[in-house]
Amino acid sequence: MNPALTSTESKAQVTHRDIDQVDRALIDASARGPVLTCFTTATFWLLVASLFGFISSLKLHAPEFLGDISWLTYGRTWPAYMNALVYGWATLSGFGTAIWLLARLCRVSLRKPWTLNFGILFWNFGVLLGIGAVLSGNNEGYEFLEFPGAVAAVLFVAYLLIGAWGYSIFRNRRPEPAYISTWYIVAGLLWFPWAFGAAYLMLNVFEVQGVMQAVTGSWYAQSLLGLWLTSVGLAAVYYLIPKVLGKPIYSYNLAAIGFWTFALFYNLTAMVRYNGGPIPVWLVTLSIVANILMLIPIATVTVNYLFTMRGYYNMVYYSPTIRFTFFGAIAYTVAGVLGAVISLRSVDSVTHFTHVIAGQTHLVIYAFFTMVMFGAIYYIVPRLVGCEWFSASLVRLHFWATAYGIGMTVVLLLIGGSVQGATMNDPNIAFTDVIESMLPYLRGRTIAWVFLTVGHLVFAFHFLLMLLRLGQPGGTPTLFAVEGEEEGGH
Amino acid sequence: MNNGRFLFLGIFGTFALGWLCMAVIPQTQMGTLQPQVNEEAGEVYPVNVAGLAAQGRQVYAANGCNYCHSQQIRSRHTSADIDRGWGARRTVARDYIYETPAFIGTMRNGPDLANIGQRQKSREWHYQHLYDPRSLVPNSIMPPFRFLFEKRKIVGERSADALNLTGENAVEEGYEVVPGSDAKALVGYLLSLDRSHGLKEAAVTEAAK
Repeated sequence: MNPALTSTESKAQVTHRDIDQVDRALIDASARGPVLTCFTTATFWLLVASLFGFISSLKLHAPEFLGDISWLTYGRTWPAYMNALVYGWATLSGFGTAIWLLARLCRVSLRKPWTLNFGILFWNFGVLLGIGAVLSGNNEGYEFLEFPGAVAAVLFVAYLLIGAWGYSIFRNRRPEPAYISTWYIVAGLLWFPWAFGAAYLMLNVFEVQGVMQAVTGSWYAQSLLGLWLTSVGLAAVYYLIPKVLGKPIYSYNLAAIGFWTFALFYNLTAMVRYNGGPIPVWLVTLSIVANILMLIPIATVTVNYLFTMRGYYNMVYYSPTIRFTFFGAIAYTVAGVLGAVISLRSVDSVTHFTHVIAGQTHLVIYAFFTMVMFGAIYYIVPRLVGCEWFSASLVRLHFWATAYGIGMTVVLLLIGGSVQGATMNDPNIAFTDVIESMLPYLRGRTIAWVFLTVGHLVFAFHFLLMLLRLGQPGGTPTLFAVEGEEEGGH
Repeated sequence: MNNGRFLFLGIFGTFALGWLCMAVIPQTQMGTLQPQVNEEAGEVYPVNVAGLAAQGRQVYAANGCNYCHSQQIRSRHTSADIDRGWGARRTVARDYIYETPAFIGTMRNGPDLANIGQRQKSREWHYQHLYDPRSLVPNSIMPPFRFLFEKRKIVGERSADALNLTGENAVEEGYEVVPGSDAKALVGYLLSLDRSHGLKEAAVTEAAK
């Protein structure tokens, strides 16, 4: 209450605003348990992913490293890395962000969310079993569907428990227009179990024939990264940027067009993974067309975040949330344009079977999604624990380590992959020489992994301090610099 | 647009379209292919491998060989696969009808293996290569699979499939290194990989003969 206000009109306004604030505080308090559980376990899986990612990267140019341990052969650490990153870190941080955003946007408090908490823990249990299975040599043999059927069932049930909460929040929303972020989250929560369930049924129950397994698997992989992770990532971008800047998004109509074109086209983009392969040509052509049409939703998102940020670009100096989220948003644009370019047959004949594909995947999972999740966590967690981040320097170190790390990773994979593809297409160059030409890039990537790991450790430490309520007193967010002063050094 | 029902309908509709195009239609088009039978010559291709080779496919999956090796030959106008001698023709859907999982692959940190059983027929070479890739392919980045082998004391005669190890891999007098059951299955599987048989939809190219 502001005692300085005396007129009745102002009093009424203050009361209204106070009710809003109380409302938000109640929603935050009700979501604290599940959302913090998501973020804490996600951070744990991020560290696991860092470990396996680093080992995998190192082994690719130093194959004798840990060479005698069957659990740690490259063909096991690599899927352990990808699964810990996607199902552990990305999906769990996505759950936390999605639940919090939904509760805030629909203005719904979570009442006794014990099935939600159970779902989150059950999901963690599934990921743990799945990664154990992959490391011990029980790999189903399909990319992103490595986990055995029983583990998939655990994950599916866990997802339904979590998704049901998302649905019930949406059903109980205040009768207000649903914001674009809500659309993306609701869509993501529905798309993922459909894709996951359908893919597992087709592979394990109906046991589709040979090439159809590859078609099903890549359709699923694209749905996982595109329709689930990207949906949550874009929901966070559409929420965080306007929210921190305190102004509406540039164009709501554009956002709506972007959503529906995204829904229509992304689902058709997967088959470029088998460009030139043993699948019907029309499938590949359809996917190439879809990849190019994806430039429409990408343009709408890009125009929206750029124009919303117009006049406020200096906020990347002050606000950790804006800095991470804006980085991620730019990476989304770059990943989409790159996806359209490498889908073309002429480009694909060079980039197919190379590290370029891994580079593009990392752009989506890491440079876009992961950076946006960092931004979201920096925004959300202070509202849950009641204190602000302890140190702006730690956030800064986290940002630069991960930004340099992922930037280096992507650039090295794209250049190295192009070299790999070009030399592989020349039959006069021995395959051993193709690999030889890759080595400098692969070594560089291991150095990039050191940056990333440092960033993750700093982030995990800082997050732990927040869990222990060791931070700045609540009220004003921890910024890189006092607003109005440009930050030096960067 | 504030209508939740409209939102749900759109979300379902767009996804159903993708599922139809990416899974259902391809399934009706190529989900039930049959092997090619040449009655005159009495040939059937492909044949379903069983026993050791089928077990070896699981070892291949367990150790993630597919993350670095594709089993897919692309045509001459998209790639140099055939010119590299990795196969005599492009691979087509019919090649994979008996394979679960089908390791078509999307990445090549190592060479394609679609026809490795035909390109490298020596069982001894494969054992040696799995045990220590760099002893046969200098600068290879393939990890060693020594954990698929066992070192044991020679009792009586030296085993027929014991590895001839030299240099730093040599074992002390009275001992031998033999492939374990997984190594035997894996090599059995690798030797079974041969997609050089001509198909009516993918003839063997002249230049590669």
